[in-house]
Amino acid sequence: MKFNQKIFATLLTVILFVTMSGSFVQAAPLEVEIRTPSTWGNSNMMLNCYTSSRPVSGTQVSTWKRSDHSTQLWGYYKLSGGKRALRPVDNLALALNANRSYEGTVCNVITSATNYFNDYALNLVDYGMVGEANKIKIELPARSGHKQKVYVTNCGNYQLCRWKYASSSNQYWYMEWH
Amino acid sequence: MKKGKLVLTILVGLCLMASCNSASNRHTESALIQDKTGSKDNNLIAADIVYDLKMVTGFEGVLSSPYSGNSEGAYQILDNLDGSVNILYTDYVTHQRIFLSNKPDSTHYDESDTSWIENGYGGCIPIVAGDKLYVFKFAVPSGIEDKGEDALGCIYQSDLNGANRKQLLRLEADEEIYSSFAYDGDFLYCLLTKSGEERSINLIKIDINSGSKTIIKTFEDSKEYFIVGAYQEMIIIKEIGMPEVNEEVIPEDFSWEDSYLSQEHTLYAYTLTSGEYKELKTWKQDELIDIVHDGVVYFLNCESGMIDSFNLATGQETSLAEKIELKGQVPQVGDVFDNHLILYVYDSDVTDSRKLAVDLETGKVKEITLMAGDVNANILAETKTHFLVTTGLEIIELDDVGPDGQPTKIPFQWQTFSLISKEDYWNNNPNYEKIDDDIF
Repeated sequence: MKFNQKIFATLLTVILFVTMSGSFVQAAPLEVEIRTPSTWGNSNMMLNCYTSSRPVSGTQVSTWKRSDHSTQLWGYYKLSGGKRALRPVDNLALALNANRSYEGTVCNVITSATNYFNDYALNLVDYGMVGEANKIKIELPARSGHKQKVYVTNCGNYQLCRWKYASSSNQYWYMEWH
Repeated sequence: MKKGKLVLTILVGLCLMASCNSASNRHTESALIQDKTGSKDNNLIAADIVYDLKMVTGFEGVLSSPYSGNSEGAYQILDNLDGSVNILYTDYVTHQRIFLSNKPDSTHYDESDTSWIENGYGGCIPIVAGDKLYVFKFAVPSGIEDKGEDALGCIYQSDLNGANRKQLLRLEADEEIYSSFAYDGDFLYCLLTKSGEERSINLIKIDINSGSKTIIKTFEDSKEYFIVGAYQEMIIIKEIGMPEVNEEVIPEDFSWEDSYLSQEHTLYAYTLTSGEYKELKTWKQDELIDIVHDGVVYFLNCESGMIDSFNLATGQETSLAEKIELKGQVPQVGDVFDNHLILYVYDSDVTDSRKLAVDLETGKVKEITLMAGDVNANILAETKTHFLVTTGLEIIELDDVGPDGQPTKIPFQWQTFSLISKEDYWNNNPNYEKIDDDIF
């Protein structure tokens, strides 16, 4: 993605602020990529919509090697209440969502607004900068079949990701502007 | 001299035509019109202006508005795996969900079928405004290199039965729209983000006849902007920004949560006739929750549970009769239906959420416990007497190709609908009238 000078300057300001504060602040929707920490496995795995066509309501989310396919790009959007949603850029009417039937359900993208708002209005818990990326956890509040907060959990390379309760390092992700 | 009179007559005629047209459409600028009724002095009279702006998407914007309806039915988009889409229509009279097709027995998969749109790359949502159906397609800036013009955002316009579809507007490569849409009978209003040499966020209006777009107001790009309401000649805009940052006083342990909580929300009313941009209220994240409905702004105090209202036309401020018993829980606004504010109240750690309905006329609060099996009966659209609600979720296996290029099955989520009378809904009576479909 090519940025003009002003956007670059804006992003630089953002990055500076993020660097200083470990926080996200931005003026408009951004495309981001989200990957596993490099210490995991042989290389980074990308948070990926499990398809090589186009995400539809219900498409599951997995890790996958970097493919430069748009199914590995996410739109990072602010909602009018101040929270955020992550949307696959190929189909922005969908949002990363927690199926609330039980703990450990597979992460997927579904049509937003037809389910509970709190199933896709995310908290991105920040753990500071690593290089140019923000180390984060992707969190949703407890509800329905979940008795605690749940997090997008890496269940191994090329495996489907799941919403699980807080656990160890397999819930950290690196998020970076595309 | 005669030529001059002819030109003047034509100009006067055109002005009158414009006047009549504007009056019929409830919309015109405060133009001064020459009086042709024989005034020797060519007196000028002011035309009355009546705007009747209404929201035609949800307040959360086009990203979260997958359904749009009127008194007869509701529209939605069916995504196909190849990037094309179909428009579906739920008919309240026949209780059927069908392809919005001129060929009921076709495969609904070619250009001769009014339900099919070949290019849905980026995602689409339907918008009903007046007697037209619009399909808004999102832009995908990162896809322009690979997909070319298919990655550009656009708006299709058709009759409500899908006929006579045309591309009303195609956005430029540096333009994106994510905001809600308002409508006044002649124009659609929304926020356009331009990311070219001069990056800007603009309130624009789109002529529904010509598709031409006009910038009304430009905002600084250091904040995020939302159209959260529209009433008469006012568009209600929310700005979310960060306070001025003094680098020297940022604590070392300043976290994302601190950043989130330090966000400042400010609500403004932009008046189309005067261009006035008036601040209504400013608050910090999670102090208040706002929603605009039918000319009134409601503010829910997240600590006390009180709901205060502000009338946009009169400026009158009041409080609703009952406060929300929050019990330390976090409230979130759903939407307003049938003059009831839907709220979700949830505990951030250990318990389930409650769904509450606040009658905005009486101020009374009632818990909604209505379910359909294990599915929450969420409202999608309404008529005068009924709601269209979700009452089921089917998982349909579709043949797809996985990221490894191998054939795979994917679990497509298909929500099923019902109608329910408003009285039954507010009284938690599950008297559903099922909507049938044979889409799959």
